[in-house]
Amino acid sequence: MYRAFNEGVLRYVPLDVVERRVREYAESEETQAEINEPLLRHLADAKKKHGFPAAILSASSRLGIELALQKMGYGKLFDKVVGNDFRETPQGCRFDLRIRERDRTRHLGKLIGDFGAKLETTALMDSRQDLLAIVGYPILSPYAYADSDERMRSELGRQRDHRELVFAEEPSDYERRGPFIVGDSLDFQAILEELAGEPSA
Amino acid sequence: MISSFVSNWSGTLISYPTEKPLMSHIGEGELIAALRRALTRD
Repeated sequence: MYRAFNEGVLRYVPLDVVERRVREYAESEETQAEINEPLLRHLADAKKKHGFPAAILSASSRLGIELALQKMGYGKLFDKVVGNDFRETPQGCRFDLRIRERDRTRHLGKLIGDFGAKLETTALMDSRQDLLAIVGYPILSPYAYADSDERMRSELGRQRDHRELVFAEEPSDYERRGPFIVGDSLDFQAILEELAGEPSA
Repeated sequence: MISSFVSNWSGTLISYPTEKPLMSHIGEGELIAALRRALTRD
């Protein structure tokens, strides 16, 4: 699909035209309405109070994410946004798929290493169980249900019954305890406060 | 304590509700043509 996108859609389209469209999309009312502002607000509060670095890792457009965040007033919240870029070529614009979904484990490790942090003391919010399993503080995305298959929904539904917040002492504890569950934005706020105040794992 | 926080953007802070239904209802050729028209509409 990405090859078709580059060859069929972006070919001979100038980079500035594409970037203008990305900005329109990122700043549109429809897109802004999709952003979970309370999660950003609680993260900003916790980050200001406790001082940890925060980052986004995405296989989508880095520019789109940064513009959407800027429009929402959170342009400086994330210390780093790792995503994919559009670039100019003699044949027009191309979407450079440098960050691929299947390589996310490697990129996650590199990103955390760039901050001088460790997996054991990193909180990750995601819906992929294999990625959540490698960090010390896995937080299940509130959107996990929407993009999961039936088997995963069933598994997450089972874990979701365990409402008490538990703390992984080491990544392997994930197998036994599962991730932190975010039911709503206040849950997220409570989870961040608890994690930030915990002794180092 | 947390030493770093990382989020998967597409699944966490923003949702993309249109992508999959769109793909399932129209063919790739139609989608590409529609995207190109949208991109170069000026």
